[in-house]
Amino acid sequence: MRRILGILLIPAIAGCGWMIFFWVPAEASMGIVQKIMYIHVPSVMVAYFSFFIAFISSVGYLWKRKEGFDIVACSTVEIGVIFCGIAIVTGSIWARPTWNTYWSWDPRLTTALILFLIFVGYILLRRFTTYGEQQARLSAVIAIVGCLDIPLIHMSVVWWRTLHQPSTILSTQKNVIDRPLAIMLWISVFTMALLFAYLLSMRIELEQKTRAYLKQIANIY
Amino acid sequence: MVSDIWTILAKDIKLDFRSMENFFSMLFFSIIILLIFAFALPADTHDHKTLAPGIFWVTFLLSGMLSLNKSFQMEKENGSMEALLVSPTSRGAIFLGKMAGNTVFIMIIQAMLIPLFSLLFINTAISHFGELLLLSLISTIGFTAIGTLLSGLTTDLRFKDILLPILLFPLLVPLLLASVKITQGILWSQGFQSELDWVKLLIGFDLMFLIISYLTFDFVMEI
Amino acid sequence: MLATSLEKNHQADLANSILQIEAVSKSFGYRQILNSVHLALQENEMTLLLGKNGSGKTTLMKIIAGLVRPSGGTIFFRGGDITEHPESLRSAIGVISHQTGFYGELTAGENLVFFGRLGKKKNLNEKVRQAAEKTGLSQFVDLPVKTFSSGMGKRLNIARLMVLEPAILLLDEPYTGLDYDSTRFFNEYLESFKATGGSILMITHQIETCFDLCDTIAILENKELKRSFSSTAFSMEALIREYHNLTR
Repeated sequence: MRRILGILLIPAIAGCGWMIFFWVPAEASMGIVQKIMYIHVPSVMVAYFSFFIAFISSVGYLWKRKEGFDIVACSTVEIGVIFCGIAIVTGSIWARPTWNTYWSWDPRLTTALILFLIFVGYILLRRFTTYGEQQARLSAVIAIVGCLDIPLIHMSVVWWRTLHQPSTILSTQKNVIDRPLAIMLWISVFTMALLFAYLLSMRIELEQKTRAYLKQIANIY
Repeated sequence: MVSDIWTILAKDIKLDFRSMENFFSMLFFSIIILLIFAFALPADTHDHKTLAPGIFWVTFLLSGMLSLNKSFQMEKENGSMEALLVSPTSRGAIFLGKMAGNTVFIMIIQAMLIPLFSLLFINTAISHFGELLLLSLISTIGFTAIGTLLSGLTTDLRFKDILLPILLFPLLVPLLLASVKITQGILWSQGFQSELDWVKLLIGFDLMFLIISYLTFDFVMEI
Repeated sequence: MLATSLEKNHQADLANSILQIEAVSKSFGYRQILNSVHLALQENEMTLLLGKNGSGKTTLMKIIAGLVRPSGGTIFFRGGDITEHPESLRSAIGVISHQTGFYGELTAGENLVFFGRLGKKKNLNEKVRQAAEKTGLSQFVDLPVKTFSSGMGKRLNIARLMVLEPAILLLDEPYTGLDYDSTRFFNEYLESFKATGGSILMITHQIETCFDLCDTIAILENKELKRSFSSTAFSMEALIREYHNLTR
């Protein structure tokens, strides 16, 4: 299953890269810089999606106490943090030519940054505890609290810099995006989702192997 | 339930104010932070007007952190936490009792800091003492709701002193933003009305984390 | 090996026991600590739990006290599953563990009143006064606990048990730090506690000290409760020899 996914990924990424640079026309006002959107937007979506899965599996762990939920939670958080980091970096690279600054406290980027901090905290918590039932329990609580905080963080960050105006960027952007650009965006989202699935299955298998090994050496005596 | 909360709250207050060590060290810590801001920032009082709300809430976060740390430290000293957990009290009552204890402690410190804050940064603040204290109460509830959960969560861990702020501060961003904005409104004599949306957000934050922390505290308190 | 015929009739025990532990297991992450333990505590009886270090005795006790959630199995208190009503069992147990659990800044009296309140006890002041008197702490009631010696701390622990009036005692190494007089006093307390219908589960390595009080002996070995038998069946010397075999 994973092998098929891996084989599928190679042409998908290559094709997606080719399409980004040779097929899709550059956006009129922003020029070639705008092409970073095809990495930025899918990474944001994948990051949010993985935190969402982490939330669900953390609730599942506290409810059912099955180790599988914990494995999924810690794997998705790690992948989510990586994609969140990619999103922040590409976002600020994109911001440099468009707003003439790397960091402009754009609400969505700021939310991503705070999420990044919360889940880096989650990974640190896992580092500072040893593999066991306590680690799974405590980090599940952090994941739940962190995910439920997202709407509040987003709302407050939007109000913070935009002086109460509801974010209109989303709605206007829809009209701005041309048809080939939109198709390209969806293709890159799909490619990124494939990559996410591949990484997740790898990470889960790695985690299972690590835990099996730890169990083995712990029960030797 | 209510009587258990009260018993635990009364015990915490008694512990805090029996030896006064905790209280005075926390108060002095907050005073020193305010003084450091006064030294580090330009003397121009016009600048103070825009900076003051931020200074007030950063001081709040730093001193509040310490009082959260202290709260579960008291329980750990002789293993009292275990004795508390085997008593027929529910985990929820322990959470609410500890949270109320933290809230009272922080509020007393806030009440003492507002005059000093007013003296150092913005002289008109003292005339809004009541409003600032009320705002402090609303923010403190949200802060202690999530703070008590997380300090309970980190008490048994290595590096808990560094882990608590790392986990806590990002989660508190909405609370900090709301408190700063509302304080601006208060200091510019517009009262709560000008920032009503932020007040709603703050109260929503309080309610949400009160419920989540109450529900998840059970899981944190297993050993 | 002790004759297996001495083993008590397990099924008969379960029928009229105050606390029943059924197939309880616990693994902390990668380590299995308890594997399907069965144990029943009777009223008017003391059960001695033996096992070498790290055999899971303390974990078993923490599971009974509700501090640790078992990975599997159930515990019945007076016939009811305790996961449904954890408070009902917790209001019936008294614990002595490695740490006293008192607040150093509060006085002995305040500590007793605090735990008594949480235990929903009526007539608290009177009970505290009596408990302090019986444990010989009357003149120290108004002193902060941080000034107490460890022996006094242990006595205060006993005073707390007197105030809480539990039905089941969970004692984890209760004799450490007790001098001769205190030990005798503690044994007298346990004797009277048993006589009034109480049930005791004790972990200790000082078998000589408590042998006369024991009714049942249970041995934890290889994460399992292999054997439990009546103490009348053999002498103290035989038990100690057996215990040394076990821990060797």
